[in-house]
Amino acid sequence: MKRLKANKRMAGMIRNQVLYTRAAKALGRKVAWVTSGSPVEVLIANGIIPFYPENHAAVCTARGMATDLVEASEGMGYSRDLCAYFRVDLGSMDTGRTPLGRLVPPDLVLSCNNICGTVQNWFRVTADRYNVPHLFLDTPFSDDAPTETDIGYVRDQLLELTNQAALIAGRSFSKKRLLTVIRRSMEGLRRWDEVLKTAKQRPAPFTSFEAFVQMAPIVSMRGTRRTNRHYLKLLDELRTRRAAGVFAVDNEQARVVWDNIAIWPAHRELRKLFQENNVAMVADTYTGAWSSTHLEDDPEDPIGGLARAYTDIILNHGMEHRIKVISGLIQEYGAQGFVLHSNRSCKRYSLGQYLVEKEVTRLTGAAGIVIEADMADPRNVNFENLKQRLTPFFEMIKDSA
Amino acid sequence: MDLEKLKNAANDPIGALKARSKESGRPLGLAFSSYFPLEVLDAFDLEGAWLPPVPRPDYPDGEAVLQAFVCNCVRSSADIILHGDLPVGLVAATTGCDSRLALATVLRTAGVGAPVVMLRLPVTVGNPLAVEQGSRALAGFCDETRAALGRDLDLEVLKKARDIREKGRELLTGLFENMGDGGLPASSVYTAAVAAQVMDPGDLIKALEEAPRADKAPVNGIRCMLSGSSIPSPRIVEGLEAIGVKVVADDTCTGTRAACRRTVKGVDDPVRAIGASLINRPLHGPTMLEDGHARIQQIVDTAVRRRAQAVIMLHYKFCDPHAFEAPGLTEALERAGVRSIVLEADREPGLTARDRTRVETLLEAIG
Ligand code: SF4
Ligand code: SF4
Repeated sequence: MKRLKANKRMAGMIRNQVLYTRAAKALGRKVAWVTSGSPVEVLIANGIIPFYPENHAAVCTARGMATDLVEASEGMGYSRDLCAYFRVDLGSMDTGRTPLGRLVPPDLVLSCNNICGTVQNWFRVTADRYNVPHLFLDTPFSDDAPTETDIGYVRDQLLELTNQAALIAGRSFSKKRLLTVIRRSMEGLRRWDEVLKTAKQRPAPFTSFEAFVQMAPIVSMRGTRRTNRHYLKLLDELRTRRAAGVFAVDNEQARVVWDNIAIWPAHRELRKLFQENNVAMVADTYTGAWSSTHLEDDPEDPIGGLARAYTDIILNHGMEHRIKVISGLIQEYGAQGFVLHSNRSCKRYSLGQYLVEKEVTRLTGAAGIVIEADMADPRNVNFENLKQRLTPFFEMIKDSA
Repeated sequence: MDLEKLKNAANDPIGALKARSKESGRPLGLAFSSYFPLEVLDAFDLEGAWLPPVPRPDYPDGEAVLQAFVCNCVRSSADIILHGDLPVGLVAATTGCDSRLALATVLRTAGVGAPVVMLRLPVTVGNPLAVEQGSRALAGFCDETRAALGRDLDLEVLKKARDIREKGRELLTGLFENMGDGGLPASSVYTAAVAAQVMDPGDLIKALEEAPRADKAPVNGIRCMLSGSSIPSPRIVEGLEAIGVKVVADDTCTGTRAACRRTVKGVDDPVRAIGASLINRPLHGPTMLEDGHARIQQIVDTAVRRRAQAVIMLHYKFCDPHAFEAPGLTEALERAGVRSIVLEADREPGLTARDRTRVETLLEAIG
């Protein structure tokens, strides 16, 4: 498939985001380094510019810089078994190497454990390094859905956090501004959801391989007009392509659902492997995490709505929930199989996938496979092994399609 | 101190748990983390215990459900429970690290023949919101357990169990305070701490109170502190003593961190008081996010106060919370003039040959 025009536009947006933080800093605004699951709306509403180290780590990895950077972190005493996004990012902080030019150091960091326990430690390390405040939002883990008690606890913290952010930014909190940002985020999430849902069409004009790349704006520029414009244009482009008979995979013969983060060190090769085998990866649990974030614009209690949305996140739930999500995607997108990426870097996402495989197959009849790799540490990724495991799997699901 | 009883329990914790359940006729309530208040399990008419990691080369049942990149505490716990020969009445899981979360949800999905209920504790400490959430979390755990077991928690039993277990923790704290210096050698103290995880609380107190006596001569060697996760077996401490380490201070999940909790006074509702004590405890593990660097400072202060010349960090392979703190702790210790070393425990009960050599090198460097 020819590259999407949106890819080029998006690469520009990522570069511009860094330029934007530099310009904002020069104008005296504050920059926050935040986790991907943070309620950035409270920062943006206070005029604070967010920057996403996870996204930055993915970009460094996609540009082939990961090995050097993880080794730099390991040289500082951090174990090779820790999340590679952390190790890439710390390596970048330490060496100053990044494909994005010069990063703007944070004035504060914000982390939220709705995606994993790693980030509370990672962002503490970052806060120490730059000697800046570490704001933290504790979102209780739940099996399937948060309780009202959980929501209340998160809401109380968010109120404190919003005040702290306002204090750091030197502004007073404005409910109106917050609602505006929330509404912009909601629009972005809706559009992102529409983009992902285009993969329901047969053949699919867009797959998760593209979604992993195109998710950057919804993750790292959520709540901005440029993100919403970007997805409108992407939707247009996909419509045009479809009308012209351009699809993500030629002669699509089978569809699969993916669980976990992309394998960035082998992203291109894997995309090609899927294409050569006429298999479309039509949905995944990762990029869908943002489209299934249910923000609410409650004019009375916008903070309560944020508390609910950011606590009710797929990685903040148990395995039963994940089994439901994957089974649902298989049905919704008409997939014959599913691939579980056992990602050595991410324990929260990966541990227990053998059981997920069994259960999802039992519930849906779709065939599953667990592949061992890593989202960012190239030393844990062996494309030839992946190919050997996936090729017969593809044959099997094509037979059942 | 009746070391024999303690030694038997520490050397064969699974055997001890089976015998305890058989003797009382009650099933076991098994928890995985020292953050879990066992008195609550006692009050649900269960034999409350912390399941210690049992080092073994293979864990067929655990490895069938969990990938290789998990700490041996979690792998071993999954294996023991899924193996199915322990009379388990309730699995009391606790939040904390990502691996422990996975354990709870894996056990529930795999189906273990007993309810798996999770105590969902906050991860921040040092603020009133978290203390309140700790109390609510424990109340929520009790509600879910009540529904799962179809019986209520006995408040009178809870109060008694709370007091007796607290006494056990106080006695253990005392042993750790005097470890090495006039007190028992570390291997005996850790034997008591490992045994405390699985023994009946009354039997434990009796064993600890019976005329304290050391079963071996005081250990001579370089004064060291042990920091880290669960101690897989007292054999690891014996191994250290054998090469000239005199352990005089502790910061482990099996040791002082498990023993330090004291019930919050002045709160009428015992469940709330216990819940608050989980967050208000004086020592926390690295799964908790404290203001500043309270934990690191505490370790450094203890090492200095106990005149430790080195800190041995005994971390499990694949334990993220401890791995994250190691570089910062190493640096802080260095600034205080205390050397340190990180050992990675996995499936071995004692010191590996490689670790022995590394510790010997450290000891030589200290002189
Ligand atoms: S990859 Fe996993 S462990 Fe790393 S930051 Fe993301 S969710 Fe956390
Ligand atoms: S804190 Fe470390 S040793 Fe303990 S269960 Fe978690 S990963 Fe394992």
